[in-house]
Amino acid sequence: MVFENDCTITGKHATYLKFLVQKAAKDDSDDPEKSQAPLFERYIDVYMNAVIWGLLYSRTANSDTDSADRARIYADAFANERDNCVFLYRMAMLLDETTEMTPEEKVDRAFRYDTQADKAEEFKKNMDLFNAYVRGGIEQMYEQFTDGCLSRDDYLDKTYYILKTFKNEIEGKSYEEDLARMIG
Amino acid sequence: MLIKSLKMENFRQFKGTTKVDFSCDPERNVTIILGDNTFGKTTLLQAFNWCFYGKVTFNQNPDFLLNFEIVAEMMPGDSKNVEVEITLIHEETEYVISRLQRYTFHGESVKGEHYPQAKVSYKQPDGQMESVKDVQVANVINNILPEELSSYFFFDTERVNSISTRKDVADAVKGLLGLSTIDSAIRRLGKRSAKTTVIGKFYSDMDMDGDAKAQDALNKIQTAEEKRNIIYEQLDENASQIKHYEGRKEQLYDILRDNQTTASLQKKKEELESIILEDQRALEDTSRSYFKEFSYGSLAFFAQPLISKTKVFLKEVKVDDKGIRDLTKPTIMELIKRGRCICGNEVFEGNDAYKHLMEELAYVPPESIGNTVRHYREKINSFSKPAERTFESLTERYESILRLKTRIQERKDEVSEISEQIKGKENMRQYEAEVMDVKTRIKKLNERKVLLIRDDAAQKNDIDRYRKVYDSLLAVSGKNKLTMQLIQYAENIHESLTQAYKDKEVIIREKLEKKVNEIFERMYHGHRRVAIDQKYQVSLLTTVADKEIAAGESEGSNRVKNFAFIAGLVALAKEKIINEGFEEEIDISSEPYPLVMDAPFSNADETHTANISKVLPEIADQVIMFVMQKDWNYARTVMSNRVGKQYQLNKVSETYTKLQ
Repeated sequence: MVFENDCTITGKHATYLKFLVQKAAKDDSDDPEKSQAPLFERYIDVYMNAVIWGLLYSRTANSDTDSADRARIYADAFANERDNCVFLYRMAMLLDETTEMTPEEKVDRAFRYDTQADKAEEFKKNMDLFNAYVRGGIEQMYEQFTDGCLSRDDYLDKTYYILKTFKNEIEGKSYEEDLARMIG
Repeated sequence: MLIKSLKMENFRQFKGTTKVDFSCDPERNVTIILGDNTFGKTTLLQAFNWCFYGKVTFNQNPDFLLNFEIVAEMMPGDSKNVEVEITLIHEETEYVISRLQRYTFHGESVKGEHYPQAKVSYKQPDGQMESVKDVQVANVINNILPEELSSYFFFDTERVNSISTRKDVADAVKGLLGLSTIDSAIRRLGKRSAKTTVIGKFYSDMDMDGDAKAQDALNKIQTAEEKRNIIYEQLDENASQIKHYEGRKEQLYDILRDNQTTASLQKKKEELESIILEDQRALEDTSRSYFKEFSYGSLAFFAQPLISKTKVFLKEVKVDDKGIRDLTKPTIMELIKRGRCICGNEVFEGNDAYKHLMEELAYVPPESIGNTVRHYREKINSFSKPAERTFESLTERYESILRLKTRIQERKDEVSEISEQIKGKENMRQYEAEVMDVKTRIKKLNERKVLLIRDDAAQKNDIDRYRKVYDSLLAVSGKNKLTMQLIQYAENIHESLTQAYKDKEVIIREKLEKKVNEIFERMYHGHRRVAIDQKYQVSLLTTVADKEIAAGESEGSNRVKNFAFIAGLVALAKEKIINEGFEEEIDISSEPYPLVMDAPFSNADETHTANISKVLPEIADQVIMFVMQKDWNYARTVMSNRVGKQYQLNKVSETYTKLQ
């Protein structure tokens, strides 16, 4: 079954993941510990978000072994979020464009391989793909959320800017349009 | 005092009237009354005693003086008198002293009246007799011959024998020799501790307590004044402190008035800073909430485009979904294995139920994914649902954060502006605190001032009170001063008298001893000496190997010693003793006294009797002796030329003696 074991992220992806979970922001106040706020609470939050961002930007990445950094997500954490993880897995399998497949094949891949014993090989490939998206997403998130951010206020503004922009994009509006409307 | 005569009326055995005239002739100054034992010699002596002092010391019927023969003649209702009358010369004045007791036959017996009174009369220079008032009688008699001294002039046999060993002899000697005047003067002056004496009275008159009180009052006044001085100093110090703090208070008020704006700005700044702090806390909380919500809500939010894409994908793809929901291959295989369906039909290979189940296998996962996909579609709908809310909530929080930031910034700006305004001006709060402190200090100082003033008033009251006490005691003190002077005088006199007394006493004792020894030598026919100690105890000394030792005393030598002593006393009394210690001479020369002796020669041998008989008339002014015939025989040879009068007692009966 999927997401039943510990999962170890290595190299720079581990570093990024930790950074995003670490009390990411430093305020300009005197007590840095106190004023820090986590961008994400848990590793698994980053993990799940990462697959989204990987898919959104169609970005995958191979495991990085350049550094010895490691981040381990434990089976316990997966147990709590298993539904969501399976959901995201199937979504990734359905929306992946990196392999040439008919929609029916994608459905089979998404819904059948994880339960079919004779498809274990394929399932492993799928999981690798999934984790490749995770790694790509981690890179994407790291770039997006931490770019130019030093203080907690920076992170606050950055996250909200991303949220807002994202929202606008979903609604088909652009940030520029917003500005124009506000100015207009 | 010289005795001229003794007249008795029915006194004991002297029935009727018996009159004895005593020789007052200086040359023949001896009166001899001869009589053997029981003839009434002792009665004669008692007659003197009774007349002078109303006392007798008879062995039998001492209270009954009336002659028994008279008594026997008395009839019921009869009265008889007992009377003794003595005529004497004292200080060149003739006195007549008489005592009468009336006896009455009353009922069955004769009884004498109580308390027979004496009468005294004296001859005035013009020859007229003058009676002494009854109340003065005892005094006059006592002046002539004090009772306590009388026994030294009226000697019965026993008393002659014991004279030199009597303990009161010292007083008797002093009285006899006139020393008692000084002695009594000394006694009268007394000392401070004896309250009945002059000095003691003066001393007790003194208000020593008052003096002590005055000193005490003075001390208290001084103490109170010292205290007042300290209080004044404290008041001064207090006043200067109050002045200092009042000044400082004014200064502080001025500063606070001038900086009222500053103070209010200061206050506003502090209020703003407080609000800023609150806002910062709210900002912190909101920020945390924002990030937390972002962490949880971001997944669904960012997944939205993918969700839409997945929806579209699954809509377009054909998925067989005829299978029973959630029915899986293992479930069917389990039913076949059990051999009975849920509906109860038997299942075995080849029957209808078996066939149906096998058909169903095509529609259950993993062979069929219809159910799973259908499930997934539902999950898609629910998954993205929180996204909308997440955005709104995060927006709210974000805006809230922005507002807080703005507010904080605005207030920080305001604070900086205020800080700029009050920059360089001191902290008003510090001055306000100082004002409070100064006010408290002034209050305390004023309270202390009140206390000090109260204390001062108390001290002043004390001073006034003690001054009154002191002034009133000062008057007492003046009196005390005078009394003290009197005491000084009295004590000086006392001292002088005591000294004079001691000097004289020594002289007298020496003279007495000398005199007694002179007489003793003339009376005693051996080689012995008489010694008189400080207590006038007389003892005989004999010289053995150049050392005087107390000699054994025989009846005879003792009698001679006593006579010598008595004679010495009387002889000395006749001399004028001059003490040279005084500026003015004090004349303590004594009045001449008679020597009345009962049986003086008993127990004395022939020689001694002769010696005594020779000496006595020389040393005494008047000698009256009651002598037994046998003794008189020895005495007569040496004494007869000095005898002025001689009587014979004739014993008529046991109750009647006649004098011839």
